Amino acid sequence: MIQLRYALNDLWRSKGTSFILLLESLMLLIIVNLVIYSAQDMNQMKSEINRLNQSENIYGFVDFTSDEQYNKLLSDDRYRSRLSQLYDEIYENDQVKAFPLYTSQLNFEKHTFGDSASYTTTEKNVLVPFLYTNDLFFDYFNIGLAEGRSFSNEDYNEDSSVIPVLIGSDLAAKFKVGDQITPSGNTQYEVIGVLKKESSYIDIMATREFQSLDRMIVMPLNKNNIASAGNYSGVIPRAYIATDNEAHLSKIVKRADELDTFSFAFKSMLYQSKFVAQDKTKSLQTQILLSSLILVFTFVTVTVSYLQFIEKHTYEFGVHILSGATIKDLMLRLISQFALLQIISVIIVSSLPQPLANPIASLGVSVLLLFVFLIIPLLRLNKMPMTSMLRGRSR
Amino acid sequence: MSLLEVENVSKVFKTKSYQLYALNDVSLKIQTGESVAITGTSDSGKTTLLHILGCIDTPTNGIYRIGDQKIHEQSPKQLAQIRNQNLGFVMQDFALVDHYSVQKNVLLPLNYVKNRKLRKERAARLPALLDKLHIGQKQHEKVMNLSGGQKQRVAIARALINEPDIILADEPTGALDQQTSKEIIELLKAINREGKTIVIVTHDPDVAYQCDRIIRIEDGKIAEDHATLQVEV
Repeated sequence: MIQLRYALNDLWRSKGTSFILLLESLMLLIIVNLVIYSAQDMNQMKSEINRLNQSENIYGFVDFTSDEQYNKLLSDDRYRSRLSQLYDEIYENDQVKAFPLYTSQLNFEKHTFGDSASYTTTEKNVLVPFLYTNDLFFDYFNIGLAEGRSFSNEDYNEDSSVIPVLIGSDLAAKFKVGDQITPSGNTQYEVIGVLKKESSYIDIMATREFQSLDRMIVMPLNKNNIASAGNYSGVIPRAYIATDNEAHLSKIVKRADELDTFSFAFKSMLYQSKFVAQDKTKSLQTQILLSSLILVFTFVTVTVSYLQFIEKHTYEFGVHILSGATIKDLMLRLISQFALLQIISVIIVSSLPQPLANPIASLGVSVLLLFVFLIIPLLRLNKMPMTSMLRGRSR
Repeated sequence: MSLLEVENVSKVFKTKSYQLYALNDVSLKIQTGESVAITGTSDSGKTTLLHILGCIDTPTNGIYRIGDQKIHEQSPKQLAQIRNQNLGFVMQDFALVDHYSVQKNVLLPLNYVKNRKLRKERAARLPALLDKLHIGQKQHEKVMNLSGGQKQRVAIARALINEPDIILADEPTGALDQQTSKEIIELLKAINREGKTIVIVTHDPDVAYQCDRIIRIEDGKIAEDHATLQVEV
């Protein structure tokens, strides 16, 4: 305990050095946490893609449609029937199974929504992301419900004035099953179920990251709603299509072209996943390289700082030895100093947002650092003859 | 039984090309309450002997006892406890931590006393001890702001705080002027009169002749060991 008090005193007396060492420890913990997160994310992604590709190949579109063409599709009503035909070609086609991963946002007024810390906000509105999809999506990504019911055939087909929705687990704190939701605008929504906590999906053709559904709203892919909201140009390019016959996909791409709507190519998720895995591996390698550099730099700084500390305090250590201290007591004082810095680093890092915060990994790394980084200073102290310590003042 | 007993003790410093006998087959006994001066020229081995007596160095050969404790058989932890409980040190350059206050320096040995009650009891003696050494007013001052004489008084206070039986002093007046040296020697003599055993390493004959006995070391060996004639004035 007494050594801990001396250690606190030492840290305070050399505030500048302590602060630099604290910053370095923080940087190291953050980058290590990032590496751990990236490695876990990559493994999770790989296993998810393997799982998804187990039964049949899944394809996505590569969209070459020009901005000019998009403007036409969005503003010119003559295209609406063509888009409707293409929609049917994808989603009402018996030869393929398709689900969209089209997301957009619902605007809620800030004062009615309540706590909006986890959401994107504007001056007056809270933007809550939503996803249009169908049963295939739930099957592919193994997404289940915590309460309520899932979408029925009617939900997918009937033209209702109230749109049924499923909400993510975080939103269950604001809305309950049976609640009517009225965001800005005229459309009314009714909560029919709550998704299980930590439900997520991976959009490998777009963001390449796992998307959490906890703060999202899920809407049924209902052509009536899509048409009235003018969302064909959203759900069509964002279609994921499962088929064992690429000819069906070629037909869809050709049809899009014939209808003068989109310029598509298609790519299998398996093929795309190789590039995604490569990108993730590269990013992981960069992080590992960066953390190795920081590790070496921190190791050198810690070693030099503590060797300097020993040099500067040799005489004081000698006085403690005369008074009844052992070399182990002095080593404990050194370890306590670094341990205090590590504890502060772990507390700070643990309070950071994910994925930077990983308390268990941070603690593990800190303990490891404590033993590895202090090896040279502790050996130096251990080898120091007690008789030479009191000569420290004249050195 | 002698309080300190050194039997055939040698200390050898070895290098690749030669070995140096700092102490060579030294034997001596010091009784409780004695004041002993160890004298000799530079590098004669007197400081090495003091380091061995103070348990901060170990002999290469030989036996060293404090009371019935065989020092050469003790672990580093036990040696630290002996330094803490049985020995008090007064050094030429004071061996004080400059950025600590007088109080913190004097109480330093108590930090290594395991018994909490004992620690409290001894800490309570601090004001009286400082007053006795005429540094009561300086209790909260940083040591760096004190004069040499005051620093040596702080070192003596620290040496006494744990009530050890033995005070080891290495050239205690070496850094002091004549008048202050006299005062410090008087203090050490007073402490000796209270029953403490005092061993002083000095090259100053005036200091040595204030002790009951003088041991002269030469080339690592005891060249002379005789009592002095003490005249009370």
